[in-house]
Amino acid sequence: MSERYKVLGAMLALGDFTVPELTQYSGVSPHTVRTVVSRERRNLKPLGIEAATGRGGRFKRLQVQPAQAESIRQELNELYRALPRESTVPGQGTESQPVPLAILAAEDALIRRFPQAGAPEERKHLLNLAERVWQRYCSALPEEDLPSTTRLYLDSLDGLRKLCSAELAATYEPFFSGLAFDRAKESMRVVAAAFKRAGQAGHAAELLDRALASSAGSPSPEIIRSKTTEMSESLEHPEVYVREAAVQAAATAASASNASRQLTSDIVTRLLQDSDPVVRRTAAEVLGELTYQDAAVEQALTKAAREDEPAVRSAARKSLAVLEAHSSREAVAQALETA
Amino acid sequence: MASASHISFEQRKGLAVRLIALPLLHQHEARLLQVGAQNGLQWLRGEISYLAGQAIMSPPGEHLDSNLKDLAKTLLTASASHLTGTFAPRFSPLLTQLTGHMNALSCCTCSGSPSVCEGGQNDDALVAGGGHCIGLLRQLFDVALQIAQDAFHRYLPALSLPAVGFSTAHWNKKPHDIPVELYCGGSTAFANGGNSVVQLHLTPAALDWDTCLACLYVLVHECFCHAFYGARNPSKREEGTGNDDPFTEGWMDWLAHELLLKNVYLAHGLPASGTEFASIATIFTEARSQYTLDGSKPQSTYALSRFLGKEAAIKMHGLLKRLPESRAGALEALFRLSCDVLAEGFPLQKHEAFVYEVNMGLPSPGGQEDPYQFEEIPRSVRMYLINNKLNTLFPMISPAS
Repeated sequence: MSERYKVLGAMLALGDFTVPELTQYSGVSPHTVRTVVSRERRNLKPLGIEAATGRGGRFKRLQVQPAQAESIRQELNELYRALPRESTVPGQGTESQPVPLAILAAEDALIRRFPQAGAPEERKHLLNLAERVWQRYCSALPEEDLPSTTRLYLDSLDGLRKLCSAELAATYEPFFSGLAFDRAKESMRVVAAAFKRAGQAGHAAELLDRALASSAGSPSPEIIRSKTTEMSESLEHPEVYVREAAVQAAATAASASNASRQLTSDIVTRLLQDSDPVVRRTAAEVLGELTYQDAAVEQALTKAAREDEPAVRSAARKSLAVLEAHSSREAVAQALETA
Repeated sequence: MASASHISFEQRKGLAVRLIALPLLHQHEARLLQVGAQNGLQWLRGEISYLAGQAIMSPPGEHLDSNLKDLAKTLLTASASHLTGTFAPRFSPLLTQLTGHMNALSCCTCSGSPSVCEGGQNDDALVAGGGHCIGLLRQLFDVALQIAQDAFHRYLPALSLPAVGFSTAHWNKKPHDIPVELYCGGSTAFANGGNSVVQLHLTPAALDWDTCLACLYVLVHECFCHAFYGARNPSKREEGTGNDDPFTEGWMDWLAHELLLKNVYLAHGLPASGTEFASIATIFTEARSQYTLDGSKPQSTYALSRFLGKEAAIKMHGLLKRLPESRAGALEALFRLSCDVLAEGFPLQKHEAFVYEVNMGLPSPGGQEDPYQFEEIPRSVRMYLINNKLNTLFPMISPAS
């Protein structure tokens, strides 16, 4: 399975290839490469025959049929999840594994580079890079398989991503972003405390400094509730960061509002219909925090828990678990009252 | 055009003493230690430091060569009373060489005219034209520049390189925060006419032999990683990309070290072996990017940037070893690609984006890709190798902007 994964990956990486090139790129034996190529022949397009340099005869140059690339990508994803986890450093246990460089790079990008980046396009690019890394590591492995330090850094990356997203949103729509700031800062505070507990006080301080460098006043839930038209517009805003902030603002307003039903419905709509997985994930997260719940919320979360995007799926499952625990507690409380 | 600045006349008097003495002390050290003359050697080192201090405090109007001659006499007198007994003859060749070199330095010969350094405004021009008092440093700079120029000529033969001047600056403390006891650092500035000026930062009071050796690495770093930045448009260069640029400070530095290791053995006339220069360079470059995850704050402010840049270069090298177009000469391909990126003169943000993309988009050498790491970067790099166009390398570093 691991060898098939490597050969299929090499096919996508090279674009066009011969068997020796696949062998070299994948590090898999020529015999196995030929077997995989033979099995995949219907997905491959011959581009011609060329002589090998030096000894070794003639080789077909092949290319993945463009229409088949997506199915290979899907198979790669499935194979990757099923691959046995290897220790990247021989002899080291999972817990002592170093944090992947990609996560460190993404974290550094958001702590130091993002505030220095001038144009919104540069900021968006850094944020997208960091988002991709977060998704990659969160979705590639079950949470329990991640070393605890890596999990901590991923939590940090998520908090930073939310903070930066709120900062970007503020450049378009400052009003609702204040709430997103508050939520992001709270995430950062929790993560910083975890770093402190893990003996990384220096890094904890760095995260807090970054969070505190963001200043935005948060409007009260009452004021937010009075801005229903603006909120609806923000929930439909073309910028994903604004929609993400608006979803969080809607959740805050819904938690203490007569209009909970409408606001909750707006969030459910974002969860089911928003084109961007970041907004859908945020919607899935906040639905688990709402005091007002109805069947539509549970149905939407159940649907989201089966969607393709791993980050949304994971957030929806967590929220469903929270709702279930909440229902159980209420049932117990009711039973106790009746008794 | 104004001459590149240099360490002040007074400080240069002291520096000259050290720069003459340190290679000779190193040259004779093993022989003297072998016969058990460590006490005498220690005394001599102390005496050289004392004389260097005396030189700095000499009358302002006294010429550097006159001062050196006086100090040579002082050294001989002091040696006669301190280096006595059975070891005295052992020191004789060293003392002869030391005083010989001190007496041989002539400011008039250096300047080629009766006009010599006197602590005035003309000094920088005189040092730029001759600089015999800092001859060792100039020699190291010439070697470093040659190494860097050869590399750029080899990998980008059509590129016209800007001229590179040499400058020195005095520091009272260690000129960097890297956790290593080497008292030299550097910077590169771009003059109005498009030329580059590499400045060597030195702490003369702490100058020792290891620092002298480290100067070569520092100068190779400055010449290779910075001097040709934006060489395609040298007249438009205003400033470098800063100390926190992961590309120049980490990625290119990793290559600068590789370059030095490959070439230092070919350099002639250096006062130490290639192995000595190479080992100090390795210590320095590793200390620069020392970054751990044990929770301690890195001692060097920019350690993480350098670490990320270096690791990205290593990842790219790993990719180039696997691609059909570059696997036979992966390191050469990496040099070419890197010189190409540097010569384009991208702003810091693009250098950063490049390094981040590589770190996120490629596995560590020997590591397994995740499904997202197969396509984007390998394909872009392969296309670059085929058509040599930077804008195919990564959309984020397209030269279009």
